[in-house]
Amino acid sequence: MNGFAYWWHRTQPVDHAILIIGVLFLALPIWMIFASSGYPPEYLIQNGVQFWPGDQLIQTYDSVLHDRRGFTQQITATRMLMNSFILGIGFAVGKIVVSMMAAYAIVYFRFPLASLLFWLIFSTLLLPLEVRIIPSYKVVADLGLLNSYTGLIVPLIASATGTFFFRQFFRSVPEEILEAARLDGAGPWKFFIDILVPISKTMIAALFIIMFVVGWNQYLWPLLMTTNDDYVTIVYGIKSVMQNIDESRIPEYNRGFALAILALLPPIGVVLIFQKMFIKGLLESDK
Amino acid sequence: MARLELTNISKVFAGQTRAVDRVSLTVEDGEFVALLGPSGCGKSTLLRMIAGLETLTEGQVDLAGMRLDTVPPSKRDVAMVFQNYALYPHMTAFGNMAYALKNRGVTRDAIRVRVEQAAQLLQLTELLDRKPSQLSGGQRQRVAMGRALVREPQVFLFDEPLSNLDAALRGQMRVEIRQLQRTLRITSVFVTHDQIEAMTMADRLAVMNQGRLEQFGTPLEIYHRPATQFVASFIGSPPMNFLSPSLLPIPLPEGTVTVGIRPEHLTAEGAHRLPAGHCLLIEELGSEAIVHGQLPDNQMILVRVAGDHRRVIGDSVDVGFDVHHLHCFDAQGLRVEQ
Repeated sequence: MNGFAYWWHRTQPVDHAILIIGVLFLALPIWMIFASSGYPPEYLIQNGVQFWPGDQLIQTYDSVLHDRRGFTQQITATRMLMNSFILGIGFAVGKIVVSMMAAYAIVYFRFPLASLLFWLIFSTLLLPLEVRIIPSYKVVADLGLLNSYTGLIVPLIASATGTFFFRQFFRSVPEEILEAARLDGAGPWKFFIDILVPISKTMIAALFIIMFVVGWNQYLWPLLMTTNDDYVTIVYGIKSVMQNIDESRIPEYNRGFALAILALLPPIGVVLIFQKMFIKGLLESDK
Repeated sequence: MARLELTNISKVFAGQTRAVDRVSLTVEDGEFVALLGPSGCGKSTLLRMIAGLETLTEGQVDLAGMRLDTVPPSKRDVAMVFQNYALYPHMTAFGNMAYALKNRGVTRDAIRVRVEQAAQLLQLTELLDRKPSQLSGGQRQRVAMGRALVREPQVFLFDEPLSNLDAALRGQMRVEIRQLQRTLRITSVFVTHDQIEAMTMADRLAVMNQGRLEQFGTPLEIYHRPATQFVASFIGSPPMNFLSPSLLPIPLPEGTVTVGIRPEHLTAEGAHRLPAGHCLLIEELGSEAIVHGQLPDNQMILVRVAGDHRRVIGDSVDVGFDVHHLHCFDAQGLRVEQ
């Protein structure tokens, strides 16, 4: 056995131990929430968070998904998941579309003040939603978009980060590709759809992952925007379940935990699906 | 009849010197013309102006008797092969070749027929389903050619298409491109900085320097009768020797400041002798050798000799020349006729 192989075999268990500790550190709390969602809330109040799954797992999830709750007794977790999905997908797709088009204009068209405009867009990175939340709310309210998906999504989709990423990416596309496309008779629109969008596939997948998760986790904006239970998202829903102390009952921790687990699944799914595409795209791409 | 006429073309980039300076030349129908020059001489800019990728500052381009420079690039009947091929990375070889036709509204069946024809011509039939990243350099080069070919353009433009290939492949592609162009008889303009490419492929070649057209003629005209000292020094390898007239034992035409003579024209049998010098260095190439000699007043000369010369460093270099091999240039670097 040569030195390298010896060293490799020696260090592998240590490496693995470190990795396993890291995984446990991240995954154990989630497991405990999952396990605890199988107990009645009274039991959890008395005995704390549990390590082994309780016997009411199926009951809890069934009731969370199908029982109508909320202020108007009209909303199920299924509906909340759907709302979150619409918000997450609308948010991610909207951001990608808007920022790709903005970056396309900035990189490929010469117009007066182009770079000034770019830096103007870029500087809005410094202004998070929270800073402009009152004016944004006012605008949306005046447009009559409160309690609508449009009002939930549209004010959030302008993206300086996305524009910046796409700008950098477009600038790395060789100019000859544009020239070849021009000679091949592609106008600006065709070049964008036929050439630029397909070669940006990996960028799009990467941004989609990030943006979907950000959109899914939006809390403050949906909280302000929606007063109607029909538009409650799941992240906001968890909070309202935990706060539900009307009728002098204790908070339904098991339902809250179940909602948290349900809220985790779609982002994980999106990451898993797009990660594959993302890596595949990275390996294939050759500009 | 795709006769390409450039009249007094200039290109001035914003606030800079003239990249192209009043160039006029005519490419006859079916002719293969090479634009040759050192990097930065304006040859690529000239080509890009023909393609419509750059605007003209002055002058006019006509193709087949019609004004071309006012037509947008997509409407010009001109196809271009780029140095780095510029294939669309997400499309298959077929898709790359079909794209221009698709944009022109050619029917699906007609596209298939034309692409397959071109693929057969270029031996690409097996590779049509592959993406550019799955092709070798030479195969990508062929796809780029195919993309230009399927459009059946009036003019082919090549922008240093062989410079990314290795030497063996370059030699092979040189022959292939030339044969293809002969078969199809498509008017072609080929930009290169490699004189061997230009000499071996072109019907006529245009030598450019600092934006100006120095000489336009057949390869042999340019080799035998270079119009300027720049052309004389740029064409030929090893390069021409430039000597001061005082070294030569014969009367020279009025106004001559420099005399050029090619290394292959300095021989032991020459009718007139150069002063004897000594040998500083010998580059052995097998079939021949290049002798670097030093003449009495520190003038360096190159002499091309046969491979079995048996000279060693320090030997005397005693060579002669024939008058008709001399090239005389005046103070402006222009040729002086003898």
